[in-house]
Amino acid sequence: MHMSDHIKGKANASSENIEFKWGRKEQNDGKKHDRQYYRSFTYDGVDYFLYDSVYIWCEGQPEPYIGKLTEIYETKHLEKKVKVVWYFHPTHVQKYLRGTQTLNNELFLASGVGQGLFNVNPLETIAGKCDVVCTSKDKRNPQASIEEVEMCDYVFYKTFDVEKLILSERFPDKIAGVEVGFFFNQRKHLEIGTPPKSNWNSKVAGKSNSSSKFETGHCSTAVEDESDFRVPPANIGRLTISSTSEYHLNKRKLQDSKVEPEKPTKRPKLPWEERMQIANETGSLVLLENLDPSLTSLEDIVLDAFHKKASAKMIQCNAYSSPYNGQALVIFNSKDEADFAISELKTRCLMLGDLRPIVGSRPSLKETSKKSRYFGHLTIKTMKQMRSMDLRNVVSTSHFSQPNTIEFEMALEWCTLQMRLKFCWDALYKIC
Amino acid sequence: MNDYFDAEQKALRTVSPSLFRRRTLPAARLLSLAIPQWNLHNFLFFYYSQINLMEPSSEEEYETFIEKVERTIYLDNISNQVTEAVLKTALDQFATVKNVQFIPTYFNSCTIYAALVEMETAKQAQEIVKEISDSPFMISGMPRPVRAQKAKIEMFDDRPKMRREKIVCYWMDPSHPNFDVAKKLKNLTKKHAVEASFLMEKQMEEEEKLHNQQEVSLKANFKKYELIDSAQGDGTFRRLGARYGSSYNDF
Repeated sequence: MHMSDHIKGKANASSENIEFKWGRKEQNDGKKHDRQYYRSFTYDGVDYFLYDSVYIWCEGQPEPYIGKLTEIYETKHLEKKVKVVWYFHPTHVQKYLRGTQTLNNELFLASGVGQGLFNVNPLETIAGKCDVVCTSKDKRNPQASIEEVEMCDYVFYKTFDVEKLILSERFPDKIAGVEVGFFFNQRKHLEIGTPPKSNWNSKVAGKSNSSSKFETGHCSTAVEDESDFRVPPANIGRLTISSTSEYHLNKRKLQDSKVEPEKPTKRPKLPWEERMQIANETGSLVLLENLDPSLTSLEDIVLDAFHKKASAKMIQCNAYSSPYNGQALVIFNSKDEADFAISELKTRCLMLGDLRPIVGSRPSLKETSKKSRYFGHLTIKTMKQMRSMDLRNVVSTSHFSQPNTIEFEMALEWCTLQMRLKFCWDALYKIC
Repeated sequence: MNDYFDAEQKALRTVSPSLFRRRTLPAARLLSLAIPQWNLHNFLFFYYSQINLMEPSSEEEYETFIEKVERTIYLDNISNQVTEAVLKTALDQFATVKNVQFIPTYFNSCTIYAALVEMETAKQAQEIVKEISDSPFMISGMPRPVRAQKAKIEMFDDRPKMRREKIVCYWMDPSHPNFDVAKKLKNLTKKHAVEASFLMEKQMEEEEKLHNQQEVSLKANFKKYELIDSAQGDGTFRRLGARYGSSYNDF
């Protein structure tokens, strides 16, 4: 069993300025005594509970990983930790799909024993809540309604065994020492944190005993009949594997490429500029134009219009910006999303409040390495002879120029140019 | 006004329901659970009203921000070498600088470097703007003076959400009667953007022209001073003075 506490000590580095509060404590019976377990916490204004699915950011990855919180605790060194059992995105395990059709928003739950099953991460790596619904026909799984499946971020109904590297529709009794019931939907109990079954509490207490021995896929649950499986018909048509089929993988291939989600490290503290550059390289950056320049809640608009969570930023105006054409940059999660947004904006019209159709395009960003030249600052190379010059003692300290200098004359030429150009800009932006 | 609202409603109704999938809006989800039959219209109506209920930031926060804008100076015509420290020392001679923030430029077409300098009071900011506009002020180079203006709200990065900012956005399909108008507006936006970047280019050209011109004249002036200097040094002045019967000190 790999306990990957790879980021010990770094945990407290990035928690500044973000609101945090512990929620309900959990009793410590039968668990390790050097830590306090919790059942919930509030981070950055969001309430998280045990067994919530969350996005976990990983440095250098454009997309966050998704996992389920199975333990929340604080160590005696006051490090906040979460144990996360991973969901795999089909692209993570592409090598092992072997032609299996996947849904657009499908995930695979990690199972088995080995690297990639779970990680213990600093709590600060959590980037947000994710709505994952289990559409498994397993009778232990409270079936989700059509609405729930439609509204959720992701669905899963298969497990991916990180040891055998196979996909399966069977769910073992325990995954990473946690009763499989916690991985299924908890819908019937709207109040989060209430037990899915009456003996919930005893289960939690028992789970630590089993944390070292993992029971892998010897589950023999009968699959319920199709009529009970309430998934939109459109989706059913795309499921090509029968519930019993398993996909074994070529063992030789495994040697060169171990599958595991890369280890997430820190909550994204990347500054906007860097994220923007990365997005620009991957093609997921979109420039929106013709916005109201006074707009502030752009991310909500993006969410409303494209139903995608994307980070967005209004471009700050300067004296030369158009007072009518507000611009913004949006970082979508992928190139596909950006392509979709641009083509939608092209073929249809997204109207904003005061009858502004929004224009979308790929921006041509400045190359960071190339510094453009700044005109208007002159220097004289031969400093030795500068003594006799009017410009002598004023190399780069800031100052008002005196009227009896060459500098002053030249400065006035610049002022004239500035005024002339200002009139040009005013004329350009004038509404006739 | 009524027509406009109707058109909006209609456009909303024509939005394909698939767009409303995969949206995590807890209240809306609860609502959809409560309605046994998937009622698209009701849901859309609910959804629509959700958009309007943006959470406005508290009045106080907005007021503080406006105050900050009031005491902030916008500076441009500064070199890209200018750092926060340089600006601080440059303006500290007028009054205490509270904060300096550069306005980033991301695009190829834009070469403007500008900064926002927050002073302690609005009055100080006004005075500095006036002084810098009255006589040429150099920061970290010459002879191009910096330009100062009052800062505007849109120049700030950390704007709080507007009070009662109402955001309504909807998709207009090609079947909509006003689709052509919207299309034209889009093209106009693009045209304006191109025009602006053209003027920016022209501005750069003009600046380069003036720069080169001044460089030449500065070199010529420098040569002249050198010539005078050397004439003083090698005794030419004295000889000329003696020849024309005037004192060398007259120069």
